Amino acid sequence: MAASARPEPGVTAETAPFWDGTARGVLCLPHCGLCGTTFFPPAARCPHCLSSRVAWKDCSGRGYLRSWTELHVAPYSGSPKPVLVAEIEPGESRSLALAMLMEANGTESLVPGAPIVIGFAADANGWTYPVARLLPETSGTSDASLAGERAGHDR
Amino acid sequence: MTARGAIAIAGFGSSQIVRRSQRSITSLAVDAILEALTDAGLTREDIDGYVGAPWATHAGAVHAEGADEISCKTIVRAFGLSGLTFWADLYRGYATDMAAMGAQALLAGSCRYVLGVRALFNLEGPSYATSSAPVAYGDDQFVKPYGYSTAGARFAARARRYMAETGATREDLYAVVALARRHAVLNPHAVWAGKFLSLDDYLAGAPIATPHGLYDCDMPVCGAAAFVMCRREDLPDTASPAYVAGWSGFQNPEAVFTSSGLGVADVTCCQLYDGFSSMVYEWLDGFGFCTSGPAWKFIRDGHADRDGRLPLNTFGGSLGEGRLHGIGHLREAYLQVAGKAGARQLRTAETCLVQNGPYDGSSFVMLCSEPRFQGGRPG
Repeated sequence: MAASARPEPGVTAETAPFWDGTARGVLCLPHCGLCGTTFFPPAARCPHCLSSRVAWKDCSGRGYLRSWTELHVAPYSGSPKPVLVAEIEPGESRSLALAMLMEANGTESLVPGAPIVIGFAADANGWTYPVARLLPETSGTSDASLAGERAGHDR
Repeated sequence: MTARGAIAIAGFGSSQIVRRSQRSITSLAVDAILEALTDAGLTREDIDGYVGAPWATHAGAVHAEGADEISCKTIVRAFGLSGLTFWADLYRGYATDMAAMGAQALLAGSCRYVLGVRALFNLEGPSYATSSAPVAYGDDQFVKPYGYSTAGARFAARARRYMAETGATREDLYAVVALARRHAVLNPHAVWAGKFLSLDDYLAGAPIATPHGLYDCDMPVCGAAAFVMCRREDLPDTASPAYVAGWSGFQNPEAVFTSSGLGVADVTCCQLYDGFSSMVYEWLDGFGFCTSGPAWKFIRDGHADRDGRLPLNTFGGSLGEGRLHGIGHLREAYLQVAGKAGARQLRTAETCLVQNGPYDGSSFVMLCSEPRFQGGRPG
């Protein structure tokens, strides 16, 4: 019996390396050993070239805030409310965005494109999840230099 | 293959639309079917095709046949249909997909009269937005533990980014909700009919997933709608048709224009999906309807009102009528184009674009008041 009603990941062979990564405090992403594309969510074949040569790499844990929402509806029974849910672009592949919880002092200082660092937190069920936090030295500053880089990844 | 007026919607029907019901989803669906058949001038024995979209899309759905979902097999029993030569329930499809599927079955000659049914139900007991599933399977394992699939969180995040990029504010989201409430006044089915909302009351609404508050979300309801489609030559004498000029699915939105031979400038009114207020911006911007700036400004400046350049969601949308998951939009397009919208009939409603679904999963139908054939007049 789970200690919390939070839904637990239904891990498969394709997704296990991601959760093994979070357990050791590392963001691990799949990429294609043939064409080099980093992709997410994990899959048995590269969605770009369909190669089965899927490899995993440890990422830097740095990324960028694409957007966020403060969720005031409990997603599961007993969930804390509200929770800050963020879309995070990994620094290694900014065309991707991973959903994760975020810790911040309010939402006033959040801007799209803000640099973040990904930490990790274990829950009552024993699962470790990524958690985004603003990089302290850049907290609250708009990152104009990223605008050009971002443009190609929108939508 | 394109339709271009070879296929028509011949009639439409609705059940009552209420927040809670002691009657079952099956009863509501049958009410809607009976009204659709009467509207089209047909009887049960005429129906030899069926298309539905049974999926209950809310996170708290129990996905139980006869409770919050209803499929062809149950409709056939409850309504005594026999002799279907074509049927399809579209998994996770929309009313616009249903119309496209019905048109394709008719073009293929698989049947003569297609019945389309979509029903929604807000059960007593289970929370509408909160899932009780203990395991998040598949790709859900990367979103559900964070609530990213709850209460439209992913659409809220998209709205937040849109607002940051275009300068839209919550006052501009209010303009979408206020428009829905104004239009709902003329829709006797609407759960919000006659209930205006001030900006202060809007801003005081409980936050749901910021920037969306309570009134940015459509109301869960119990209700059903149904329609009948046929080939032009099979239209009953008494039917007022709306012709299916074209359609497109989620992987090629622009094809609704190429398949119909129509352009953005030909569209005289729009029914665009508004499960959350910010969703109406997607295709106003995406198809280039707003030549003078972003969609939020277009709406705020009144261009989406009944007397505006492009009347939008003239039945009140889901935000005004209730959450029928897009079949309300298709019904309104039919009523406007067929000239049957009563008190809310637009002066100019020859060509109506209908869109159902989120930005990355939308499907589209173009309805026209006259058949349109490639290269000239219908023969």
